[in-house]
Amino acid sequence: MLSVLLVEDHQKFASALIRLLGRTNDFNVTRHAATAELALEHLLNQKFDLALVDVFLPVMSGIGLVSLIHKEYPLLPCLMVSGHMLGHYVTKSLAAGARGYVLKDDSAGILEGIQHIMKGKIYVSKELRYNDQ
Amino acid sequence: MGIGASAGGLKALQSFFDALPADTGMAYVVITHLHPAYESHLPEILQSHTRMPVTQVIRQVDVERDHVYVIPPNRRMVMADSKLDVAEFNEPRGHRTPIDLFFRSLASSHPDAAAIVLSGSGTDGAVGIKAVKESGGLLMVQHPEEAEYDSMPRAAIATGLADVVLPAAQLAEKLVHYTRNQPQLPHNENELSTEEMETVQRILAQVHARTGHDFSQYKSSTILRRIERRMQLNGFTTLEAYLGYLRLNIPEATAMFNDILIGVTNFFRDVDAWQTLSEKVIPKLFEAKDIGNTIRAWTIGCATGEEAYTLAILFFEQAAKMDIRPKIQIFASDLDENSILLAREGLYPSAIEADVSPERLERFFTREDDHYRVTRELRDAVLFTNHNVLRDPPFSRQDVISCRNLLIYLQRPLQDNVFNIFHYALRPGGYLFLGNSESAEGLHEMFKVIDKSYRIYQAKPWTTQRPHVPSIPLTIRRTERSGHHASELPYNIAQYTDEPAALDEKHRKAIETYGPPSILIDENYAILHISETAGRYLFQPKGPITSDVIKLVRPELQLELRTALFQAFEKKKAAFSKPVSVQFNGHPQQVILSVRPRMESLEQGRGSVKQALVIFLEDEFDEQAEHVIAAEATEVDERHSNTLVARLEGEIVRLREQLQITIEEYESSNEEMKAANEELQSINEEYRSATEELETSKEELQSINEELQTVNNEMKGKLDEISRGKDELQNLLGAMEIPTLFLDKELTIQRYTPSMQELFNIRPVDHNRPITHLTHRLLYKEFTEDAEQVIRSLMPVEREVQAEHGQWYMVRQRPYRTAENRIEGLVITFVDITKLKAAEQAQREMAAKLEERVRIRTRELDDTNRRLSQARDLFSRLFHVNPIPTSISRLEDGTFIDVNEAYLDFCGLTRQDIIDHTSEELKLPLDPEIRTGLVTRVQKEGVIRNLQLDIILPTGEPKTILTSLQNLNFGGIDALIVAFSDITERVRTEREVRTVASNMTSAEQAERTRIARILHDDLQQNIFAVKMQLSILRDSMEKNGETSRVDLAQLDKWLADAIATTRQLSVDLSPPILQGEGLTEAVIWLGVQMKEQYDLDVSVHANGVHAVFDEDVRLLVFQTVRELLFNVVKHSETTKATVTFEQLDDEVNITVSDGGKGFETEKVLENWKARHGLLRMRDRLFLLGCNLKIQSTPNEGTRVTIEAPVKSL
Repeated sequence: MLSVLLVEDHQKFASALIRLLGRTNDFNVTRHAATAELALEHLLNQKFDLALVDVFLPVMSGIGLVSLIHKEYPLLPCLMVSGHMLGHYVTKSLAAGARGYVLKDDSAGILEGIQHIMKGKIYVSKELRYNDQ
Repeated sequence: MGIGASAGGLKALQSFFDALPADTGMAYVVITHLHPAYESHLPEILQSHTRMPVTQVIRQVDVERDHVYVIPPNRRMVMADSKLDVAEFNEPRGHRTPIDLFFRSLASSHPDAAAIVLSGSGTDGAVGIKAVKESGGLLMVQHPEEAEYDSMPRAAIATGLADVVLPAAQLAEKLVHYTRNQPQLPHNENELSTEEMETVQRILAQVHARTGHDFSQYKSSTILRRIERRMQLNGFTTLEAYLGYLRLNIPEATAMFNDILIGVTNFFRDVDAWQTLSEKVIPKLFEAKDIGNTIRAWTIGCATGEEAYTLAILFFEQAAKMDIRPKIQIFASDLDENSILLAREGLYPSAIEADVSPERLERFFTREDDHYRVTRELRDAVLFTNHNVLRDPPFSRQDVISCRNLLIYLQRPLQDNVFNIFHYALRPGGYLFLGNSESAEGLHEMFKVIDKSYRIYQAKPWTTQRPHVPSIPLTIRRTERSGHHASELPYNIAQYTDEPAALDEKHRKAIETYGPPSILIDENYAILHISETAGRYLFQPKGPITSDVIKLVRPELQLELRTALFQAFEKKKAAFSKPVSVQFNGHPQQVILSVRPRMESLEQGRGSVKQALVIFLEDEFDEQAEHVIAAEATEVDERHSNTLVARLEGEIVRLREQLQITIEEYESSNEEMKAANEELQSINEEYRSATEELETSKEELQSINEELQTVNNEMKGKLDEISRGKDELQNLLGAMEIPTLFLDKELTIQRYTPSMQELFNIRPVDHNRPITHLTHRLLYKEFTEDAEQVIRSLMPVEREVQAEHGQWYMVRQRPYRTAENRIEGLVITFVDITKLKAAEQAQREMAAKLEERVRIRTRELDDTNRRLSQARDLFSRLFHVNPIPTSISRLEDGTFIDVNEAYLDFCGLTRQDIIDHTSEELKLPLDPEIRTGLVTRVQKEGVIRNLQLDIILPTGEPKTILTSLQNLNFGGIDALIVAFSDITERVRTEREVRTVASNMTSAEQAERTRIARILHDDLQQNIFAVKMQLSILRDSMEKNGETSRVDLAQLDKWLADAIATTRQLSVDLSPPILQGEGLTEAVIWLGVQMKEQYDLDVSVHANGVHAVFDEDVRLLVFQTVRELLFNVVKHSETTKATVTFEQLDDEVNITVSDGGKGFETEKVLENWKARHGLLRMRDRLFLLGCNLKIQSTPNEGTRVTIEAPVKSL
């Protein structure tokens, strides 16, 4: 069982995602934080195997959070979960240290992405791959 | 190490120090030409380019490694031991050469220092570097093409001494390389190993083979120092490696040769020595000479001629003091052909000012730009020639020989030979002048000391007879090198200490002891070596000690020995004498003399005999032979034979005496011949040198000849011109219709033009007849009187004269002047002025008509003036009632000439306050600077219209005015009309409208952004959640095998469509790209969107456009461009559009164009407004200061241009 930290400000989408992940026996969303600040608090108290981070968060952005995690917890892999299709965000996220970027409407991609990342690979949703990236 | 730089040198110094590491272990002294009055910032500037400490030297300092020292202004700097010191200049400004001064002191304190010459004007440094080079230092020069001022580097290179010529930065690298690579050879030959000595010899042999000059006899310490320097310069640490390099590089041998023969010399080098020479020696020379005599001097090793010219200067100065001036002839010789060429040129850098006094420069030199050239007088006194004192016959009968700093290069034995040559070349009592470290002491029989400290010697007279010229050549010619000579070379002595050599020695000793007695002699029959047992054949006669074998050998053997020697040397093979009876201690002994010559150049079979071995063979069997002879003798009648013997013996004695006398005569005439021959050789040498000089002057003569030819050609041309001029004169006289008469002083006819015959009855036979004898057709009684009057007074006379047939003539009588301004008669011309007279009449009538016309015109003018004053009146009234404030002022100073009522109202002043005052005096609100700018512009353009200005009234109220200015001539004054209207209100309204429009655009965009955010943040997130739940549902139903009545796949597809729609909508409403700064980037993004969504190809041209816009302008322009592209999609029926950005001064034109169907602009525009709202967009753009232009033609497409102002800063 992997312990997962989910950082997502939309309650409805967060609960749908927790359910999606709960259907497999491999994951356990241990913590859910609505803001980056709360996520950092969780990180202080607990060790996680994976972080799922929304790109847009109310105060500190998801990309800002990832670059902090990358600096402070270099062993914790981060997967960006976003509704935005712009290549621009993908580039910025990967540059900040995220290991992958999946679209929120790509359920299969979310699961596949988590598996890839845990094997140490980089993953980006299929729809985004042949943009100018 | 010293660095010299001047103008433009700072840059070179910076790049030099930039490239130089801080740990080279050397100290650097920078000498520049600084302005005496200004403080120098050089140390600070240099400090920023090096990590070494940089100090300006203001008092004496100890020099330390890895430090940089800089000269202070108005001081010169010298180096002594390892201390730097500064001192005042002795010279006035303009004559200072601090770089030369420093280099010289550097050379004497640090012989292995390096000197660098960088950019600079003038020739400072060119003299000092010679000293550095001579002492064995390194000389580097900045490449003249890199230098900003190349005259200093070029002067340094012109000396031919530069080791390295490179750009400044590479000089630094080379220097580091040079110092890191110090070979450390011992400076004494004794410290060298045998192998090293051999290598040195091989190096010298290479130089000999390549240049023809043999330095093996030169002082080894000097040679070693030069070799070491060359090795260091080329980066070699072992002699072997350098030898290999030398073999492969031919120019290196020449460089080496030049290095060894450093021809360094200055004018008056060692001033005191020259002073002594001029006081102690030169006056005596002159006293001894008569007018017809010549003072002869010889300068050996003259290099580039300074020493020879110095001597010549001293001679001339002495000659100036004398009544009787003998001729002065100075021979100057050197090995180096190039130096001789420079010396003959006689051109020296202006830096010689340091050595030669101004009076001497004035007297003996002429200035040529940066250089001085010796005068013709001085040049003619010196004869330069390429001459090797060790090889070529010497000049003779010299009064003075000056040979300074040549002997130091020669080894001791060679020095002695050279002194012999000097003694030979000097006439008895002649003077020898040597360099500071040379000496002729120890040669008492040849030279007497005149001045010990300055090395001046006098040749003693020859003791008995003139000595021989020492054998020449002293150095070995290339073809005559042999093992024999090599064994004489000092470096090879060590070989004989080897074991086989010792055996050889023992063997030789044995031969000497037990072999027949023998004597080794040289070509002059002088004894070189005597074997142990040969002593008894020798016999010292009375008289001076001699080594002549013929004189020394026993008298009985003398005759036979002379014959044998002669044969041996002549035929070059062994010769034997007849047996000779010799009495040893009363016992007769038969001896045969065998002379065996030793040949030089055996391998070539020719060459001269240098030595011979005389062997005394004592043959025991000869005693038997004597017995045989004796036995034969007994057969003869004893009595008869006794008388015969006595008679024969008497005969023999007499013959011997005769022979002896003949031999002596022969010997003495031989001596004379030898002396004469030597004399001839010397004279020949002089002729050879003179020929060389003549060759040079012949070339000069040739060029003069060419010049003369040119002059001759010019003269020919002039002659042609003159004869053509004469022809022309003839033709002129003939062609001239004016009758002309030439008379001489007696008024006889000399020459006349053909037309004269009409006036006078002249015929060709009348030449030389007095004119008074002829009749003429003129009413001119005073003709003869006038003519005589002109000849007397030399004043021309003019008369208008009528002829018999009514013609009028202007008769001019003028004196005839020759080119020498003598009066030789008269020239009389008769100009037909009949027509002129008629014309005069016509002119008078014309003048009357003109006067009438002037009267009419004057009336008209009065009329015009009246109308003009009415117009002026009208203008004045219009000007004053005009409601627009208007002023007229003088252009040059702004003084008011007139203003109208409106202007007075605006200013609140009265007319008296304003007129004849300037706006400045009145404190009228206009910045004087703006006014000056406007006046300049008006002067150039004549008029400025509708210029908007912000001013502040004296009341403090800000106003905006719209003004027009016109330059005009107002009653003769250059005046300026200024009219303006107050548009403060209008401008304020405009600003407000702009603000409202701006707010509107921003608010609109804010609303779009808000809606987009709701779409994305709220609606879209909800759909994501639903879609995810749906996928979980589908997944679990699939697993459980359940089916649904609703088509879940289709539901999933609908949700995906909804997500796509909201995504596109939010992007359209608020393109994320708009959050950036740039407009061009946003338009490029828009182009991509148009392609994706509507398949419209948009090419964007925005090269070189980087303008920044106000936020509202940017948003509105972006939306307008999007609207225009939508229009292209909807109406133009094409799939291509172009957006072009064009950067102007303060605005950017953005043009959207297509090649679609287009429309008729006027007709459609009304329709357009309703349909597209584009004209509404135009109104809004206009409010933000933009402009929109539409251009369309049916079937040719549409162009819409937005003119957008850039953000004002």
